[in-house]
Amino acid sequence: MNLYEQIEAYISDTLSPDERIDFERQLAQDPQVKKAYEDWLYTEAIVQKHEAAEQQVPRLRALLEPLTSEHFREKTVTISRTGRVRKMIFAAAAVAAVLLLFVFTPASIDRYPVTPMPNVVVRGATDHGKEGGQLFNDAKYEAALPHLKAAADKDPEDVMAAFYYGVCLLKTEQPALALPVFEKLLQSSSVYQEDSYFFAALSAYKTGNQDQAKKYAAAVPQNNLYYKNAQRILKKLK
Amino acid sequence: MHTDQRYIEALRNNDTILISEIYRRYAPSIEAYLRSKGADTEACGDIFQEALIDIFKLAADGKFVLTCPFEAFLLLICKRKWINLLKKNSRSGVTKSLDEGYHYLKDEAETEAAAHADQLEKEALVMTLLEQLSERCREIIRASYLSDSQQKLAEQLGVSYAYLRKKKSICMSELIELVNHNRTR
Repeated sequence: MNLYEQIEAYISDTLSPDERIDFERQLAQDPQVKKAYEDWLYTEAIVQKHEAAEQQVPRLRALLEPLTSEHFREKTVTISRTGRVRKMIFAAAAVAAVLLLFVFTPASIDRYPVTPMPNVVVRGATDHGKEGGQLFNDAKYEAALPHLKAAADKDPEDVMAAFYYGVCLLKTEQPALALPVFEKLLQSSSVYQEDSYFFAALSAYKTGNQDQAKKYAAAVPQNNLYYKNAQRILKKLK
Repeated sequence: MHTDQRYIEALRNNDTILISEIYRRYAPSIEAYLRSKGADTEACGDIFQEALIDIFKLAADGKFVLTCPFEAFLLLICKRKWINLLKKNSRSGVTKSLDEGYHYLKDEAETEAAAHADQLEKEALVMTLLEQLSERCREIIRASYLSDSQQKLAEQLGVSYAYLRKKKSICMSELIELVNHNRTR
C-alpha cells in the first residue's frame, strides 16, 4: 500500500487495528506523512465544499440575474420613458464641455477628468445625494455643494457622496476643506480610495503642503485614471 | 467577525432583501470604479455577479468569517477579475499575482480583504486543477463527495469497492501534486 492508499484507508476507516496504530505512529513521527495527510484533508475539504455549493449556484444565479440586469444593464432603457431626456442632454452637454475644456486647456494641474456621479439621472432626485449628483453632473458645482455635503454628513458610510463633495470643494477652490475629506476616503478601502490619493495630492498641493502632496501623488497606482495627473504634480514639486 | 457578515449569510440563504441591498449599496460605486478602468456596463455586471457567486462558494459551508467591510472584499475580487480579464484578452496569460499595479498604501481592512481574496483564489485554483485530471478521476472525486456511501457509489460506477478506493487515492494524489506544484510556482 502506498502512502496515499494508506491515507485513503485511514480516512475511510478500513485499516486493520495494527495498520491503524502503525499509520498513526508514522503520522506523529514523519513530517512527510503528516504533510501528505494534511494536504489530502485540505484538498478534500475544498472539493467537498465547492461541489456541494455548485449544486446551489443555479438557484442563486436565478436570484442575481434580474438584480444585475436592473443595476447594470437596463439603465439606458429607462431614459426614454422617464421624461428626463432634457436633463440627460444637459448632462451630456456638460460632459462634452468638460471634455472640450480638457482637450483645449493648456496642461496644468487643474486639467483632470471627472467621471460623472453614477445613478443620479435615471432614478431622479429624491434625496440630497441624487440632487447634488445631478447638479454635479451638470457642472453646477456651487449649487451641488450643499446637497453633497448634506448627503455626506447624513451617512458617513456614503463614500460616493463624500468623494463628489470633495471634488466639488476643489472645483469651487476650497482645497483646505477638500483635503480632510479625501484623507478620510483614502483610508476607507472603498472604490474611491485610489482616486482619493490624487485628489488629496491636489488639495495638499493647492494648500502649499508639498510633502503631503508628494506622498499622496506618489501613491497613485500606474493604472489609475489620475496617474498622469499625479505625475504632473510630482513634476511640479521637483 | 465584521458586522457585514450578514451579507455573507444573505448569499448563503438566498436572502432577496439583503442581496438587493448589496446591489443598491455597492453596485454604483463598483461600476463607476470598473468603468474608470475601461470596463463596459455589461462587463461590470458580469464581474459583480460572478464575484458574489465566488463569495457564496467560499462561504458555502458556513465556516467563513468576514473580518473586513464587505465592500472592501467585494471590490478586491472585482478588481482581480477585471485584471484577469484584461490579461486574458491581451493574451499575456494569467499570472499568479493578480494585484499587480495596485501599490497604494494598505490599511487593516485592505490586508484582511486581501487575505480573504487569497483564500478564495487558492480554493478556485484547486477546482481549476481538478478539471485538468482525467474524466474518470474527476467523476470519482466529485461523486465520492456527493454520495452517501462509497460502496453504493462503486455499484453506481460499475466497479468494485476496492478498485474505487484505489482509484480515488491515485486521483487524489494527482490532484494534490498539481496543487502543490502550482502553489510553489
